[in-house]
Amino acid sequence: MTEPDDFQCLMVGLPRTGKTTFLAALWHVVRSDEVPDSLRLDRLEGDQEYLNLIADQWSQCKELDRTSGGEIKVDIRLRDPSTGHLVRLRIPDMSGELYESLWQTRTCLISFLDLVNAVDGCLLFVHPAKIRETAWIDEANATYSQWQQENQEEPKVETPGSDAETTGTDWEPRFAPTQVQMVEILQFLTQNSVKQFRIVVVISAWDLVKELVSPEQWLKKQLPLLWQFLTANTDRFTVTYMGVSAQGGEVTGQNSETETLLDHNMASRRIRICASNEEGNDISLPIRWLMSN
Amino acid sequence: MADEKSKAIRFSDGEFLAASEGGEIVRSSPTSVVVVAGMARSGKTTLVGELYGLFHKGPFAGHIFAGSRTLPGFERRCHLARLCSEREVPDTERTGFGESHDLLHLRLAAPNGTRSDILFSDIYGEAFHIAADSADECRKITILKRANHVAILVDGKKAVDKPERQRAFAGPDSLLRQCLDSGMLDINSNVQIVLTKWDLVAGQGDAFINDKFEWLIERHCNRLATLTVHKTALRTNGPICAGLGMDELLQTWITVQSRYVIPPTVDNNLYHSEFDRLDATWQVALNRRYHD
Repeated sequence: MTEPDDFQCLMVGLPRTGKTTFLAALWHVVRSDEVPDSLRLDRLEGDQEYLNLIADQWSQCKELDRTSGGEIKVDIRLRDPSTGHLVRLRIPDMSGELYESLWQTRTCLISFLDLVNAVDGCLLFVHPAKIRETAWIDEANATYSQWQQENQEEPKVETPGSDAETTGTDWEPRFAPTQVQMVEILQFLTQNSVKQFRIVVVISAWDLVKELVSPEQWLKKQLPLLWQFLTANTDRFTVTYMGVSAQGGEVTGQNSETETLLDHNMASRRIRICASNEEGNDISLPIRWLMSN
Repeated sequence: MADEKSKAIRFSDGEFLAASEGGEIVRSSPTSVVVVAGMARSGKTTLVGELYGLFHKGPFAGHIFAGSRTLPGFERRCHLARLCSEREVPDTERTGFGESHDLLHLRLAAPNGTRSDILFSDIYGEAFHIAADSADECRKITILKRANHVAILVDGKKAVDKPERQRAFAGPDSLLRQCLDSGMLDINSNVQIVLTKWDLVAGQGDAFINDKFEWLIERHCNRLATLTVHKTALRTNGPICAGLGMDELLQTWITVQSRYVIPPTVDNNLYHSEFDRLDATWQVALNRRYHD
């Protein structure tokens, strides 16, 4: 019997950026055979309790429990139907707090660095609704002044030496914009390694992006520092960009689309993937891209 | 073995680079060492922090951000200009006395993929007051000799204030003279006179400022490799957008021009960086330490 090749994939992302939801939808797709070109489950191996648990929640359009306590090991034995190639995908579900802690405490376990050194590909998660932007006071003031002029309001008179000029909160690492934290995390990952990293930038909850832009254009506009960093370091990163809506729409809050999403006879149909040259329901596409040469 | 794996390792705090870490960068890639000099509150820290901040908005001056080993250092310096500081008026954290000679690092890439590193020395303002008054004190700022560029700042607000405006230029003039007479700068040095806070003072006192720029150039240009003048706006104010004038200054830092120009131009005469000279200086220092 042919032994599968190992493929180590690392999901990188700050808390609540869609890593676990991606994994749940992936598990559904590979075992359901609902998407013609997707990677398929070759056979069950080991313990699937965690995958079954999150896939159950996903199938009910529930917001998934967050991963806590670092890392949950996940191995899936897959087959590429177009080539017959067998692969054992090792894709641990990493807690977003682990990456947040990398930026804030600037520490990590040696075992994590060992994992990074063994990585064959990375999924870098960004969530459009979970971005801490770089927000400048002067730009906010300029916007406010313009608004005042347009609405013919009296401008506020600044008093020299007022509290506004002298007070403020001290800097803490958590204040750093998302793009800065992501750049630093990538710098940490590559710092102790000479390999070139294959990266899919996964813009999760892609259904929230209403503009007609490609995933790369979206990142370039919303997180320009991160986009520049990935673009400038082609010797370290081979990158592609994909929009991924693993739930297919909002599953919580006033705008919940749960009822509509549950209408699909095949749950995979609610998934949306937007790559540079194709769109569809195949959530294994980012993994297939990582595995391609 | 399991215990080894569960051990935590700590990355550098990223607040600044020590000179030895700067040396590693200089040896590994084309690097400009830029000393930003000026009297207290002339905008030294703001200049460097806001340049970094410009890349948060997208590519700038034909370059893209390629990394930094001092992201927390930049972030801390930019904090008081951000909404998360809960201030209504932007400000910049002052450089403390103990932070003298600390280096901030920025890596940029040109459209053709060429990467450039810039190391900024963020020096306590009072140190320059003292240096302007004493040759011995000036000689203590050893990084001046290692720098590819020295940017001497003129406080724009003072430059348009009648009681203050003579002093606004006399201070940088004294400092430049002291650096030249004490041998800390010489015919190989590249100096930029940078008027800051242009966003607050544009349109005021132009004739006076231009006269003073010419005066500085006439007095010192023959003793330097290049002497250029720049007006910069680092923050958005009315019609003036943050970054005005910074593109030329950045181009100057990335390339080394052969002669002084008024006003600076960016697309003529590109020359190699002087990092070799700097590299040699640090290499000697490292060799000495190794052999000692």
